[in-house]
Amino acid sequence: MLVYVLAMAVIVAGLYAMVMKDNLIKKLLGMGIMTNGIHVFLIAIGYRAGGIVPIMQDLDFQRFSLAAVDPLPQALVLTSIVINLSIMAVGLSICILIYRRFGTLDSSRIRRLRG
Amino acid sequence: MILYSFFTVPAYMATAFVIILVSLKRDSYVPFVAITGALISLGFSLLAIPQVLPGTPVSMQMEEWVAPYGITIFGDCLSITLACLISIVALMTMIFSSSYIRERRAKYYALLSLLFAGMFGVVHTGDVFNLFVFLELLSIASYGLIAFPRNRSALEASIKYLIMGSLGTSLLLMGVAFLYGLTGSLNMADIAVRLSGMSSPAVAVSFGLILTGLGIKAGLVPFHTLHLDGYTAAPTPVSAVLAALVANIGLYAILRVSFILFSMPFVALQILLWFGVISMVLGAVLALRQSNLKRMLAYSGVSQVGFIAVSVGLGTSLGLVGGLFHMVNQALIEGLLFFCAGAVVYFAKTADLDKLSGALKSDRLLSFSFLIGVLALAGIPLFNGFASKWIIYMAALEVNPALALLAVVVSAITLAYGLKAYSVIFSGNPLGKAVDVRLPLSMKIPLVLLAALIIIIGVLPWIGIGVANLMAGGLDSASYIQEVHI
Repeated sequence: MLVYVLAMAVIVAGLYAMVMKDNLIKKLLGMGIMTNGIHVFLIAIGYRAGGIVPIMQDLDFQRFSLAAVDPLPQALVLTSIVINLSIMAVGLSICILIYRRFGTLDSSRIRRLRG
Repeated sequence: MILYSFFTVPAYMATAFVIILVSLKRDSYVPFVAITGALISLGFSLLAIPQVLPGTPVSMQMEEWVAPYGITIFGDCLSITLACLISIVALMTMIFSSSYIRERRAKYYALLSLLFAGMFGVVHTGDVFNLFVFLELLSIASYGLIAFPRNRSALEASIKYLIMGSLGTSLLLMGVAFLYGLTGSLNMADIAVRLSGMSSPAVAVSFGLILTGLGIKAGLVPFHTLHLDGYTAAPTPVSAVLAALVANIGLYAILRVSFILFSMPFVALQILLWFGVISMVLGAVLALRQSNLKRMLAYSGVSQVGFIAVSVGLGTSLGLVGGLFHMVNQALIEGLLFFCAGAVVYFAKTADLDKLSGALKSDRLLSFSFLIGVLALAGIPLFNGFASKWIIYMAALEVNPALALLAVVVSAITLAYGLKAYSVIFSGNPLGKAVDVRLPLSMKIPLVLLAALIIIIGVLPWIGIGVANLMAGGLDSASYIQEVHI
């Protein structure tokens, strides 16, 4: 239960940074934090206390299915990490261009400068 | 069974790859590669029509893994119609861009191909997690395309679209995580079976998260501003794609998920209805006041998406048919109008209506196609917009006559701003020296083809109504589950 509360706290912290912070880099970091919170949440769904790694070494299916943690959320998280990485890369490179054009990363000043 | 139209996804991904390879050798071949890719995937989409035409859905499993465990690809009349629509608009965009975009072509076309790959993926997937993945593919490509001109407004619009868009997809992922925790499955049909009869607050939470996440993509009213900036700042062919397709794809995903997984609860219908009403009215009223041509068209897009949401939100089968029919028509009309705006911007070098007054020497093809687009958008008889809007008025009249009246008034406002833009651009008093318009062939083809489609559907509306009826059949949860869940 504690891990779910923790995951929600991380998500809310990320959301706060995304919506309330003015600096674009901080907004992007908030996005990363929020997604990581969702990842923790997903992993926690598939976790089983005292479970074994979901790699089938001996073919005793009965014992394996009772003891292993759920591998599917881990696969989802891996996919999501890759997606998040590419969004972050696109976002940061847009930030570089923005800094070159506007000379600032403050989103409220950027809005005023756009004219 | 092999569903041919799914091969559009790998076809577009391969196109993006080949474009980069070709550009290393010669940049000028790039548009031809892109157009070839678009033609191939149009062929794949058309091949799938006979597969689903009797109204039976078709599903396909990846690598012989059976339904709840493997990845399901799903096609029915709804998704195949949308796939054909995307193919047509995609082909037109590729052709139009070949003369519009002059520099950094390889990057532009590669991103555009990935955008279309994502769209086809969203339309064909039968799996909530793949819905998220394809939506992200689509979104990342669109962030890059909006920032493509690299000027101040494009960069600002792009970062805004990126932050809000990734917030939307994160909420969608969160909803998917809830669904997986509840049912232990990601396959839509399997989730639908397991969710039926389950009444837990977590179901409502996950539905709310998914609806909000997809609503940001569809650009209904509270989330419309980021779309507007994106449509205004992006290169005009990209604006055409965003306005004609991306909003519709978001709405499609909302409808698919809410009808199949959650069997469309009444609350969701009401949400769609009222946010639709606000989008419809606000979009039209604000479009009247715009002095930028592209921004005006972007507002009209918000207004039309509102029409679709209202029609579906009525909750009657007639409303559903009208909404889906309008989805197809809106994509064609917005595509045509944005392509016209693209030609105007290309020659006049500005989208500001005050500066556009008489800036172009009249070109008959361009002014005719713009007029056709405006009349179809306002729902004048003999154009396709009339047929679908008529069904929407009828459906609204059954439920709430005030709504029907409101829809008619909004259509009148649409006519007003459309004709205002038309008269300013094509018959205004010249302020300075008028520019000679010589449309290149690559701009003529999309204008003529889209205008022809609009008139054909307008003159023969029963074809469109028949297709829309079949499309509405695709949202029937029982037949969906039967096809996938064996």
